Amino acid sequence: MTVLAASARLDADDVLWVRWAEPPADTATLTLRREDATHTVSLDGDAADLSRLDLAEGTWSVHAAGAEVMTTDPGFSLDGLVEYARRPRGRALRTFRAASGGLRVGVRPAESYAEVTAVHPGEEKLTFEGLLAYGATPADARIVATRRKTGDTVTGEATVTGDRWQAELPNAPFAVETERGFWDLELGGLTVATWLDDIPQKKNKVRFPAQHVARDTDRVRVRAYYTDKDHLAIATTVVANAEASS
Amino acid sequence: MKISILIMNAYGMGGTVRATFNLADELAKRHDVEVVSVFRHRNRPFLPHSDQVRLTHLVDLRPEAKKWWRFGFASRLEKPSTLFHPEERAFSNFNAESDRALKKYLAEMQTDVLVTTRAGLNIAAAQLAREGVTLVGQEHLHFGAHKPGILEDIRTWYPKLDAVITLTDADHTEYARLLDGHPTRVYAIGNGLPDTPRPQSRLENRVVLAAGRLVKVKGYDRLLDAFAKVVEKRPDWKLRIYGDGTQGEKLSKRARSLGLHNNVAFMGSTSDVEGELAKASIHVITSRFEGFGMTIVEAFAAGVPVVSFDCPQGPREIITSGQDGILVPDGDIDAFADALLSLMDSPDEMRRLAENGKETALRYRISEVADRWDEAFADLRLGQTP
Repeated sequence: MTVLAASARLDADDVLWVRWAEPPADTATLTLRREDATHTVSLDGDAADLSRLDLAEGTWSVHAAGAEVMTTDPGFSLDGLVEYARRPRGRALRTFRAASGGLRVGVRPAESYAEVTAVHPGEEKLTFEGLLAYGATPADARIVATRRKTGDTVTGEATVTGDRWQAELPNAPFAVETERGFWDLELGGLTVATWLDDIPQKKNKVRFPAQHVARDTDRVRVRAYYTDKDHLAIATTVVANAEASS
Repeated sequence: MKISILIMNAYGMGGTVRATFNLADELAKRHDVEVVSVFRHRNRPFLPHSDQVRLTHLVDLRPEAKKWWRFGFASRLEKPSTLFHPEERAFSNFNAESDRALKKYLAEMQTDVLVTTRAGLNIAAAQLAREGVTLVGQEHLHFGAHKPGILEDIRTWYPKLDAVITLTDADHTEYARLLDGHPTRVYAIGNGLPDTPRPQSRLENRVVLAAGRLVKVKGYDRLLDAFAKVVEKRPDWKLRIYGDGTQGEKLSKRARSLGLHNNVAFMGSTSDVEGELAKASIHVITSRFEGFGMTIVEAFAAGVPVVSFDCPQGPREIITSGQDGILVPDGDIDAFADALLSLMDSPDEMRRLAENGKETALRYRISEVADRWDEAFADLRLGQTP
């Protein structure tokens, strides 16, 4: 038999709210399954409290009365993802619809970090905007780029207003390069990443314009990019003047 | 009755493959159906299909199939096709090996009905199919998209087909005129959507979605230009473009030079277009031409209004402008941006169009589409299952 949810959303307290299009024979419980593990939770009306379940990291399918729960609800809104990240948490849950149509609950550890929402590459400096996720508090008002190979750093100023932050890095200090370099970012000690936009593996999906710092015989191209883990980082490349157009 | 559907590459993605699988899955409830893919380049098809549909291939391009390659196979892959007209839009995909395999298949196939799905394959079937098979040529491209040379081949060979099936009424008129005086029947039957529960958008995300190969005909250069104007007024809206293709790098560069790097993501291909549509609030079509526009119907079914250039031929037959979507004069970038902004500023209007679009989508239920194929088969005196 088909069990179909017309709406399946998680609130900020990790309560799953379900509205049925085709309800299961038994609406008393829901069972979450992942590999061999199962957790059963009571369904109080249309609410199931997932907050106390000891769910391992990964993706869980949802079942009711022996059938997999299918859904026509994408399961989340983008504003909702941001709202959910406003609280300090040890783990983050997320409901979504799998390509098969099945309802899923994703579970992952939630560390506090600095979410990036916009990057503005300017002629003199790179400016970043974002929000502080899961109760993050920067240790200081600085953004620091650290070169992976050498540990060299470039530092810029940051400002925090409520849970919003803004920071800027000057382009010129990156022009110490004689070869290609990669620089990781930290905002007051926090990881700088974009994880709340529902676009995983952004490296080739979202690309930022480059700026060039002129030198005597060549230029250094400075470009923000996303790493394989969707951390924001800076790549620097030395280019001859003739090839400098991006 | 056995129906074989011949397609260039069932293992790839895109509207034609989705539409072909949707049709094959539904016809398989009523007939013995196989999909014959000229090429196979991966183990499993990118898009899902029913277990009831047999999937076979003619030319295996998978690296692990190399050990089975016969003498001359590799060199034939390098030689251009002589079977296909150079103006067939997929000419460069075909080669001497696919010519050889197609000739053999068409001479030996064991089937009652052969459905071919693009001009080059329609012509090849008309030239080479063995006697006793009913030949149905489907046209996924609109009539005006064919260049003069291949149009001459179409004029010469389509009269040998038993039927031509177009996706739109406008194309039906063109082919009926072209085949006037010949016994070939012409039917207009659009693409269909499975009757399964489909994900529904709540129109809550400030996301505009486009989907289709990153090639010139899809007009993504025009989309980026229009979206740059939108973002001046609504920087909070994002554009997601799904698909891969030869123009990818060029489009990414254009997006950066337009300053859209915080607003546009090139998402790559997806096997779940309907799921992604349901996360969006507006679906856009900026194609220079569009044979049908499978994603328009998919967006309607997901409760997402569509803004489309009024390009030939599909969009204007599916969309009723002001009712379930907005048709913008083809190529008018400013008007396209204005249409998007008008919807962004009016959630009520967006909801009204979306509700009407859900009604429109009902016309494209695959069960009804398959009924029309069956009527066509019956018309061709093939109605009875042996």
